[in-house]
Amino acid sequence: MTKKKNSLKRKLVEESIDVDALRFLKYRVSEKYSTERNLFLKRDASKENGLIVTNVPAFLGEDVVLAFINKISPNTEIEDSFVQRSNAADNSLTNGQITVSITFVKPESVNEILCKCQNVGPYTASDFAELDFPTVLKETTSLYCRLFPSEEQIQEMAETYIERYDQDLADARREAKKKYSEPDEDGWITVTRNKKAAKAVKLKKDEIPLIGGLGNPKKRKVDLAFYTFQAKKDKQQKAQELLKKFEDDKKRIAQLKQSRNFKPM
Amino acid sequence: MISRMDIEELFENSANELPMSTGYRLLCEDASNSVKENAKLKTIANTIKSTKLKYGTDYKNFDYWTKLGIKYPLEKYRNGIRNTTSSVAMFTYSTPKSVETSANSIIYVEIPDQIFGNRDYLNLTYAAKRAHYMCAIALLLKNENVEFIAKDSLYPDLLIDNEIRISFWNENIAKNRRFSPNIGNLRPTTIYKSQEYPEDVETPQFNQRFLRTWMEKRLKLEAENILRDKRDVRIALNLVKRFMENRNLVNLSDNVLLARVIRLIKQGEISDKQQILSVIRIIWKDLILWDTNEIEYLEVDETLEDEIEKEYKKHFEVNLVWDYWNITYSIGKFDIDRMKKELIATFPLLGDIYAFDSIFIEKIPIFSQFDNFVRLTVNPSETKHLLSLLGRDSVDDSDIVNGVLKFFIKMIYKTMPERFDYLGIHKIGESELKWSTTKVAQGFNGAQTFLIGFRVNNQWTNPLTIGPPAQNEEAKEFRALWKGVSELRKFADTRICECVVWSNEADEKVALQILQFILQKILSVPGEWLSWRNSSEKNLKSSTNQQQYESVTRAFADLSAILRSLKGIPLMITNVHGISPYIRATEPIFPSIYAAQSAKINNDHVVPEFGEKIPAFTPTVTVHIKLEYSGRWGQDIEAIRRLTSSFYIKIAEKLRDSKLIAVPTIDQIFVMKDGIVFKLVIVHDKVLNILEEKIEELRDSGATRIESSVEGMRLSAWKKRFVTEPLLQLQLQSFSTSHRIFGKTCQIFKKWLGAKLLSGYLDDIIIELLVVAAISKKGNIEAQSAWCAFTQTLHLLASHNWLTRPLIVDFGAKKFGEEERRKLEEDFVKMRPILPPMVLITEEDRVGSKFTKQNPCGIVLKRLVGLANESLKILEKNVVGECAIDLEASLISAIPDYRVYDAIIELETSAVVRRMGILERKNGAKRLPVVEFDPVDELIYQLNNQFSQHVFFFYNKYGGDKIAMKFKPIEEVPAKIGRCNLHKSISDSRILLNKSEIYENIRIIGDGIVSDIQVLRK
Repeated sequence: MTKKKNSLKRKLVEESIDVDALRFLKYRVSEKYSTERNLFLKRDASKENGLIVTNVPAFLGEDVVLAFINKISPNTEIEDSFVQRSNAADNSLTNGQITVSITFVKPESVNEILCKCQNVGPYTASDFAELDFPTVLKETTSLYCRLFPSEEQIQEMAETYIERYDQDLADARREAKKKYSEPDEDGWITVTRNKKAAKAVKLKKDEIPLIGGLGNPKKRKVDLAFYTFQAKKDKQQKAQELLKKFEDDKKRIAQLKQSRNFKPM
Repeated sequence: MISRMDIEELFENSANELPMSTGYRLLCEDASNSVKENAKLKTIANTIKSTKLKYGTDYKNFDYWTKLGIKYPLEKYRNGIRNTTSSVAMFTYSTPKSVETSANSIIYVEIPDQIFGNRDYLNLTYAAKRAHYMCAIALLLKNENVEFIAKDSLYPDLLIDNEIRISFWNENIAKNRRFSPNIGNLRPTTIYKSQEYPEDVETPQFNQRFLRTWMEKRLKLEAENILRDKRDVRIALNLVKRFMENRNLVNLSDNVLLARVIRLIKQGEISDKQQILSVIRIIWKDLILWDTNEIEYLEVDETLEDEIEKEYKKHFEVNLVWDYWNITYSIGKFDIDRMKKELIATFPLLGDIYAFDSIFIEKIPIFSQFDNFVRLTVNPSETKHLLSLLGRDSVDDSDIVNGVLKFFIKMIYKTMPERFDYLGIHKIGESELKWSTTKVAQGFNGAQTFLIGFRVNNQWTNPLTIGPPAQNEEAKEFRALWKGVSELRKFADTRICECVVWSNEADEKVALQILQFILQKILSVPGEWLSWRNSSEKNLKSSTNQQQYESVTRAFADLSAILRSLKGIPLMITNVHGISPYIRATEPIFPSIYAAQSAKINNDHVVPEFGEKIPAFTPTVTVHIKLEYSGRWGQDIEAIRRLTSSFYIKIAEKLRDSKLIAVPTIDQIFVMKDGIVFKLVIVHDKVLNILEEKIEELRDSGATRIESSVEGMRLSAWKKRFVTEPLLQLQLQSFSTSHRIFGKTCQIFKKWLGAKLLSGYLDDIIIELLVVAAISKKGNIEAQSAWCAFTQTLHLLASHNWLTRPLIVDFGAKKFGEEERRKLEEDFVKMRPILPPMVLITEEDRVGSKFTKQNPCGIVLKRLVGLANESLKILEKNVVGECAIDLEASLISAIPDYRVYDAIIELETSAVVRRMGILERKNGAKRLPVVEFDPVDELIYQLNNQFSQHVFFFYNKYGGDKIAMKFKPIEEVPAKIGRCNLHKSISDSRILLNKSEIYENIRIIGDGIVSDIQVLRK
């Protein structure tokens, strides 16, 4: 095993390839759509036998990517693969450029693919699978038709859901009831005590206490300044506040003024 | 005009006028820039005072100065001056009697008495000698940059360095009384030899011009004296002056305003103890209450004899007199009326910090101030036949021109006063003429052009001019005025009146016809003098279009009545709200709400079929309905949704009983009434409660960033769609009923956005709110025509500082108070870094980002502003320029310039389903057509969805057959996995955007819609 790894490493060194760099694979979609494109491949940093293939048009799909991998190195065994994400703004995996994550059985396969991928191709995707191009027109037309199910279907859908929902609701209620009446597996019963709700006290007019009263308690002005220095300080503070307000005003005006010279072009 | 009641109400409402705040004072003080005295002023004054010059010639010899290098400025009055006489025929220079300077850089030179003879106030002698004296001073100052400048061509001044003005006067020439309007000081034969005149004609205009040469100086110097120690009054005066200049009231902003303020000070209304704001308010009130029917005097105890007062009233429309000088001699009543309108509109805003800029800083361009314009070119060479009428008080062509203009305006007020609120006149070209001292003045002779702007009312297009009942004295007058084109008409209320019939139906051209009538039939001058500058709304409100809107409104009213009284459904329908621009008429109907054409028929509705012809676009009118309360909906949103769909089935069944076509789906029900498709959606307030409860639970469980959680996003999406937007739409609905031009303006704006390929970059709600903001802008008089409102919308878009200020649109029942506004603005400043480029605050959206979060981005907003500015230039050119422009053709239906883009996606003609339709509405259609099916919209969505990281897409929603592409600037990037989508490798470490891959992908997904892609830039 170690020997094999060493030999592989040597080989890589000979070809001076940085296996951690972004590698690419050239391909075309079909005879008709023959622009040369790149798939980008990169080692998955999170697992040693993982490979990430990105810039895959959604209509190409995972299968074509796997077929490409198979073509590059027919003997690699793939353990698992899935579509990770898409660059489409609505995150739908059927649109835009998708990213496929592939897990190989053996970690060496990753290096092998990365080494070879730039030297092969360009492949033509339509040779590997029957491609189905999802056009906007086709999609929206079929979506429109789906928007109009028959009334029976709508009714049926509604009924099944509601039935299930009612069932769920009843189940949940039964469960809850059980909790309070029957002992659970540890033999406990949940007991709760109903709190007495505090009643709002409504006062009649003549019951209102004379002193203070309930509404609009007038603020009694108390001269808190016992010492003259305190009075002085209060005065200073007031002035400070006024000054601050003035500064605030000034800032506001400055901002208003600044917004006058608007020349975006 | 302006009723007394309105004014009283205005002042009454302002009992709770805003007090002067520190902020406001700061703004005022800052805005009024103090005048700096020119350093040269005193030196020049001293030179003039002390230098002795030896010039002398016969005052009829003009070539004397030519030899010395100065062209005599009154050269064109050569003949007139030759016809004058004087007891002092020799002009001999001697040093001035006095030289005074004023702080605003004017030197007043008093010409010594001995230059004038004892009857030199007659004819042009005074002017001729004054000009000689001026030539001598011009020669003295020839080392300076000296020019002639003239507001009044007979009495030019000198101008040095474009700053210092030197004015000449001598008031001992005659007593001011000599210039009262009933006295003739100009013998008409002096100027027009060929005409027959009685020798003693009145020359009120000539007299006033004469008086101005010294009275203006007296006014200015006296004002300076009075205002010297009244700083706050000076600031207030300055601000009011700026206000007038901003609103193009230039002829009132100088002497007239100054005189009014001096008058107020003399009357004791203004004192130096008052604050700036109070002074401004006093000036405002004084101007609003100015009674132009009376003669007013500058001095408190000044009066004239009744006889003379009568003369003033006879000759001048407005009289503000000071020692026989009528300061307002060149002002018309219409000027004052317009000024009052502007003042009334802004009065309640005085004291409001946030309205300060719109009153005292922002300049309103003339072409957005009126609804309709005519451009009048008065050519004096074609007025020979009017000389006997106008020549008595004229010294040259420009007097004739002014005379004709005055007469024309008078006739407008006589023939069509019911059609407009007020009008304004703006002279095209410089108001003051400047010319070199070595050349002959150009520009005083020949044709002059004026712009007459009208603020119209709903009578503007009235096809009839209704006169008095037949057979009375007035009817005779009326017939005489209309020179026999009037006829008798019987009205529904059995009146028989004199009438002029201009057209069979309401037409914008009626006003033009009347103006042409005045020119050709009354003045007998060529009709080409007049050029019509308003933009037709013909295509926007063609009769069919109008009918369509009406039928939508009618169908909606009928449907909502049916819905409200629908029996046999488990819960009654309580509320029916039309949530659609079609009901407000703010959407250009394209190709209209038609039920048409067949595709694949599926029972009661039609569905499109792939591979078949794409059906034309049929929009739907969204209607939100609410059901009576029930507690049995449950707590599960999906369950509510399912239950609602069975409700839709029930409602559909019942509607079918009323012979309507109704097709239920899971989330809505489509109903066809009179060929119009409505989309009914049941809105449950319950859903909002459930969503809010979920958020509460999340919050209780200690979750952070609730806004970006799935529940949070669901709640905000629901709120936006079913609470905020409907509420705004309802407010817009009521706005559109109270502002009849609102719908049309939105249509123009939407089409304009389309023509600029910017469809989709502004939310429909934002478009309408911008129009609302422009129409209801505080302090502006409301526009009455759609094009004017559109101009104001563009102006708002282009001049609002989107970076530093939110646009606050409060048009609902509740308005934001000053405190609230302040809070909103402060919050805006705090949140600016995370807010979108465009922030529009309404009562429903206090952050202001709900509808602008995604679009427009900074670059698009910048482009929008740029394009708005460009279009404003076209609009200005249409009004001010030589020829009228077809605005519709150049702003709305012009083919866009695709050269700025990188590539063009050409669309299949069959896929452009919003192209102007030629379909007839089928009231009797039996099936629901394909509705709201626009493949181009879907394509645009997908393009943005997949490629918006790298490309901008621009298109015209209203039938554009091309989509323009512009790549974002960064194309080559380091090879990183996160950035490699749609790229190709160019080296080990670099990758490049693979444009051909993008083009190919577009071809693939656009199959059937895209016909070709043209790459304009590699």
